[in-house]
Parts: sequence; C-alpha cells; structure tokens
Amino acid sequence: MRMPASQSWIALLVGALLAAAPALAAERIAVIANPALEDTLSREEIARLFLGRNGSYRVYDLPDRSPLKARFYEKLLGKTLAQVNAERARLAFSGRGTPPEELISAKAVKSAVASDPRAIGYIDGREVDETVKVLLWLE
Amino acid sequence: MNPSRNTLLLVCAALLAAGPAGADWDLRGFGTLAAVRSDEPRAAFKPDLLVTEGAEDGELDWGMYSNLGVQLSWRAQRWALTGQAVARRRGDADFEPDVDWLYLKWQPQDAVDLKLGRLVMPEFMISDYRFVGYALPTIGPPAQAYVYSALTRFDGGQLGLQHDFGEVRLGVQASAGKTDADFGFMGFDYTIDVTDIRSLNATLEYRDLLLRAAHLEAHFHVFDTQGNLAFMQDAEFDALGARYDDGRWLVQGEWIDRKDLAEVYYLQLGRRFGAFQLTGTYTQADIRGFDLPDQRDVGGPALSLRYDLGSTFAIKAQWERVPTNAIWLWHSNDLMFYLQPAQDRDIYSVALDFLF
Repeated sequence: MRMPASQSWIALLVGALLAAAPALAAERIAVIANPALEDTLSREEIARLFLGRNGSYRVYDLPDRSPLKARFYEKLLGKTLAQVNAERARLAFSGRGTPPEELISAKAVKSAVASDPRAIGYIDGREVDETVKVLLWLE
Repeated sequence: MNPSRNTLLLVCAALLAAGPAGADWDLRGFGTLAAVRSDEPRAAFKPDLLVTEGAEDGELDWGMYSNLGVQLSWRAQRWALTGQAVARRRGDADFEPDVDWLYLKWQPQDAVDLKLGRLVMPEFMISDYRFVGYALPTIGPPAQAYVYSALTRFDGGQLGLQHDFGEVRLGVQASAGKTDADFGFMGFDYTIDVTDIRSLNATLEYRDLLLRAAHLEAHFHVFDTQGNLAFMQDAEFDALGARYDDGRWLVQGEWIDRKDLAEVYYLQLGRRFGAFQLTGTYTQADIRGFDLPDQRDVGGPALSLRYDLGSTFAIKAQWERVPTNAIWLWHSNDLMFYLQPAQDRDIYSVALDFLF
C-alpha cells in the first residue's frame, strides 16, 4: 500500500527531527550545582562566578582544550577563551578574583559538584541526572 | 637581594611547609617579550617615569615592555595570602625582580574584604594590571596617560566593599599607606618619599559596562642623591574612567586631573575580528609645573593590532606618535633636548604576551 504524499512528507520530517535530536540535546549546556544548594543565582551572577569572582562558592571549570569549555563561554558570555582568560588575568593578578579550578573532564566536574554543597560547574545537558541540579540552561 | 624579596621567600617557604591540608594553593604567571624602536636620536623613549633606559635612535630596545611575573596564593576559609613578584625594567636594569604585591586578605563576608601588606596603588583604571600584557589590547597602557601613574605600589591597607543592586554592582575601595622610589630626570637622580597616601575609588559595573571614579591625596618629598630636600608638595588627583567591552567592541576612556603634574585624557576604540583586535588610542595632556617652551597641550595617536594565538598567547604590533615635549616620556642627559621646539616622533613596538 502506498502512503499519500502528505503523509510521506510528515514521516520524513519526523524522521529528520528524530535523527537530529541527539545533536540538538548536545547543544544544551547545563550550569549545575549540588542539590543541597538553596541559593538562586542570576545569569549575571553565574557569569561573574565563572570569570573568577567566586565568593564563597567553589567553581569548577574544564581545561582550555575541551570543546565544551569553548562552547560554554561563547554561550554564557559571548566571548572566546582568549577573551575570558584576558578578563580573568585582570582579576587574578590584581587581587580581585581567583579563576575556577580546572578538572580533567566533565565527569570529574559532575562528581565534584555532586559531593560539595557549595560547588558549581557545567556539563553537557545530556549528562544531567538526579545527583546535580540545574541552575541555568544554555541553549 | 632586598628585604622585600627575602620576606616573600620566607613567607612562601613557611606556607609551603605549614599549610594545612585542604587549603587552596594557586600558582600562575604572566610575561611579555617586546621590542621597541624610536627614531629620536637625542633622547630615549621610556613610558615609565621611574626608569632611565629606553628606546633611542633607531635601535631595538628589548627591556622597556618585557617582563615576567609569578603569583603564588594560599587560601583557607576567609583568609588568603598572595605574593606577586615581577621582573621588569626598574631604573636602568632589565628584568630586575621585586615584589609588587604581598598581602594578607581577610574576607569576613562575600561583600567585604580587608587587605594588609604591599599593594598596587589604585590610581588609574588599569593601574593594578598594567604590567599584565595579555590583559591589555595594546602594548602597555596608554603611555602618555599612564606615565603619570608612576608609583605603582604602596605599603599599607585597603578596605573593599561591594553591593549588588539587581544586576548593577557597586564597589568601593579605600586605601591608605606610604611608598618610596628612585628615579632620574634630566640627567639627575632623585629619591621620592610618598607618605599619608589616602585613596578612595568607586566602580559601577553593569553587564559589559564599567564606570570608575577615584580620588587620591598624598605628601611628596623629593630628595637628591645627597639627601637634600629638592622638592615637596601635597599632591592630589581625581580620575574618571569608563570601559565598555561586549566581546566585539571595546570603548575605553579616562580623564585624569593630577593637580601637580598634568590634566590628561585618553580615548580608546577597539574592534575584534575573530582572533584579531584593532585598537586606536588618542591621548591629550596639559602638562603643568614647568615653564618650558611648547610644554603644554601635548598628545598623539596610537594604533595597535592584537592577534590571539590560542587561549594563552597573543602577539601585538603597535605604532604611536609621541611629541618630544611630552617631557616625562623622554630621558636625556642633554638639558637642551627639553628646551628645543617640539617634534613628533614615531614609536614602533612588537610584543608576545603569555599566561601560564
């Protein structure tokens, strides 16, 4: 039995969307915290934390070689890693901030955040589970 | 080795030996390798009041903007200890190491901090990171303005407060202390003692915009090499600054009214094109306190190109036009140099900046 032309188009569209779904999910980055953290942080406050003004929070980052890191700062600040490092250098070498601690992988960041009630980090949106809570989604 | 470097080494050694488990350590640094060329045959270009060597007569000068800085910090709970040593041109010596920062910080709340020790004088908007080349779009800060920010550090205390009003962050810093330095001018050597430094500055930050206002007062005593008092003055300055940087466009400017020396302003406009950043600067100064010909209303343009080589290296090239009547920027043992009619000179620089 042949499918009507309109149904064929719908099937094609649904198939294409399903095929693209993992890629779309991969574009989402989650800024995560320990589920015990009760504070609500604005996007501006989160941006300041990741630039190095971390106050009483423990902020975790990834190494510069991580593709996720470059995407994260592009989405959060609209800046390249070179620009972020320049801004952090201004703060770190003038006593106004300390850059986040770099961990080797997103898995290590998630594990560190899950075990510290004052910790904040970011991971690929697909890696979010009940061990962490999402403070901000970056699309 | 001078006492301040001994102190830093002792403090660092003690911390390394006795630091409690769980405390945070942070070791990082910065550096610049730069060459500068000037076409002025009678004097050396040196954008730092306290140095007596510079670029002259078509020869490459490798020491003017080159430096290497290392910072070690220790943090535990609400306390932190930070030391920063920088090797750079001081006087007539290249890569001369000394301690620019060494302070104990107590932060009883997130919005309050108190620092005691050696700190950098918060004179102008980028005074406290002026030697971190990677943090700047240009090679050095605007020379014809920052030559008046010569006393880069002081020993004393600093109280910092901040408060958020929604997305607007207000910061206030009050500083007090004293400092001293050696310098040469018109072929003579002097020592300057600066006491009773009192400084207050405030910043407003909203997203990509920073506004800053500052006021500083101090007593200056200048002595010659025999220890005779050559000059004394109650110095005072006010400064206003603004910076907008959205990642593509950079607009920065400062107006500085230094009562005893000069009234200066500069404007900077930058635009990023991928890894490139092109920045134009114009500086104008009205020099005070000297009755030399052509010594007022000096200034000139500069053009800088930066290329980010990865995320921790940058290479830069810069051209700036500096008139010879910008007297603080030139070092000459020939007094006639300062008395002759002004001429514009071209200064060319290239630099490699890095972080580690």
